[in-house]
Amino acid sequence: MDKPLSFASKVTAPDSVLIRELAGEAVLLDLDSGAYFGLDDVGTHMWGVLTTSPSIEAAYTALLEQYDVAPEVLEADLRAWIGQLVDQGLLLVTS
Amino acid sequence: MAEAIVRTSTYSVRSYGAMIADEHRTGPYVRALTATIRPGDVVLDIGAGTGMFSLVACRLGARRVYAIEPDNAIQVAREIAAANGYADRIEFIQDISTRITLPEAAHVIVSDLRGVLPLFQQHIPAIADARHRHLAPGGVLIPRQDTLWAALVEDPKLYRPYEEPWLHNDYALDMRAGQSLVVNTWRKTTLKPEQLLVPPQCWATLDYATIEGPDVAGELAWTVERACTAHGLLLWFDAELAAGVGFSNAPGGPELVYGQGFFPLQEPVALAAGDTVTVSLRADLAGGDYTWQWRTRVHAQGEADRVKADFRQSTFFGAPLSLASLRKRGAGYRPVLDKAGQVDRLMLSLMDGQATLDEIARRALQEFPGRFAGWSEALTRAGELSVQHAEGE
Repeated sequence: MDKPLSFASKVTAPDSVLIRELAGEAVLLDLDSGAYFGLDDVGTHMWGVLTTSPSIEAAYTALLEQYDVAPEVLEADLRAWIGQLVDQGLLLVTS
Repeated sequence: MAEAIVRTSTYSVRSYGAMIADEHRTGPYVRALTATIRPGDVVLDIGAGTGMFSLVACRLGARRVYAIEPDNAIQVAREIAAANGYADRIEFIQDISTRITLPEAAHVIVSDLRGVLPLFQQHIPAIADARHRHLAPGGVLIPRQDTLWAALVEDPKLYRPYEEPWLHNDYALDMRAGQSLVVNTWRKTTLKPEQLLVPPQCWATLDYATIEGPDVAGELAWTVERACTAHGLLLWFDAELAAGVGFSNAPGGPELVYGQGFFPLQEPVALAAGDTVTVSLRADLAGGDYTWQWRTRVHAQGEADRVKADFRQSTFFGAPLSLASLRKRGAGYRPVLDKAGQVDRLMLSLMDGQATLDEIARRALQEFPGRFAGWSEALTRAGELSVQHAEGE
């Protein structure tokens, strides 16, 4: 992530990334690299909320209601997590 | 182990035989070779199998033929070459073409590395690699190109295994979990022209003279002209082997060994005249084989807000994987060798050109007591690893 992440942005999964859920967890297949990535139950839930929300802000608000976590901790975790997934080509950020 | 080798080779030789016996495939290949090969040419035969095309190349005057085949069927090819008096002109190499280097460039490269469809395993990377590294300037590839065609089809009988026993069975069992897997798999079939609901559309053209990447994506769109029920998408290819020489796998033509690929819809869709159907179809080579995705959208009378169906299907969703196996494939997974892996690691580490398989088997028995029923079983495993990894033919 070169630029600071705006919470007004929306995140989507690229067409080249497939997700398969099984018993609450998930595996992502990146067709461009052929690599598999695992998401635990929390990651799978966050992925679902993020990719179906109109903005990162909306996802953040929803997650804040669902988890017992301090707002600043969730924001930092979310920024780091999205940044990591974007760097790996697994998420796209659109304004 | 010996039994396993015989079984593998017997199956391969039988399938190579079936391919050669298919006159609608082999006839055009021989005509293409005849139209292309000049006396003195160097020919590369990739995926040579039992060596049929190599023999034809020799008969047409090829000075040298390199026949590349990873399967043990190559042993039969050697015998057949000798029986036909061409053993001195054909160099057989048991390997895959992307790993070999040749002492000279080829004037003609012939191959058939397809499955039911040309998008099969390493076919396209192998052709692109051969073109870059093994083809002489001005050289010729056989085939030249494959064209992939698609159409919506109706076939209740073909679709039945996607519904039964998963959605309804005589035993009052809820088996829906199986259905979500099977509708994400495709299969080989052979349909009749009257089962096509719409005119075929070209999905992709694979031009082997220029192709580089193995992935293909394209959109298909039809407006339905009569009431019918769509069960799936049919995919097939036409091959151009040389100028004016080729074959087609289209429904209604001669039945070839390839057949056609049937990609089921998530559920059958009743269509009315005027409905529009769009399919985004893509195939990506990942992990050694293709992952297919087909997204199908049906709009009543073509109106954007009247969605009759919207299916996202992929072969990625079609394999009955366990969570443990999925997790083990994750890029961040840190694997630890289990006992079988530790045995294999020991055996492989002992394959240094000094120890015999007998000695390797005895050492494994000693270090992993109880792992094998006896020496014979340990020797079998050592032999399997030797066949797979030891140098030389």
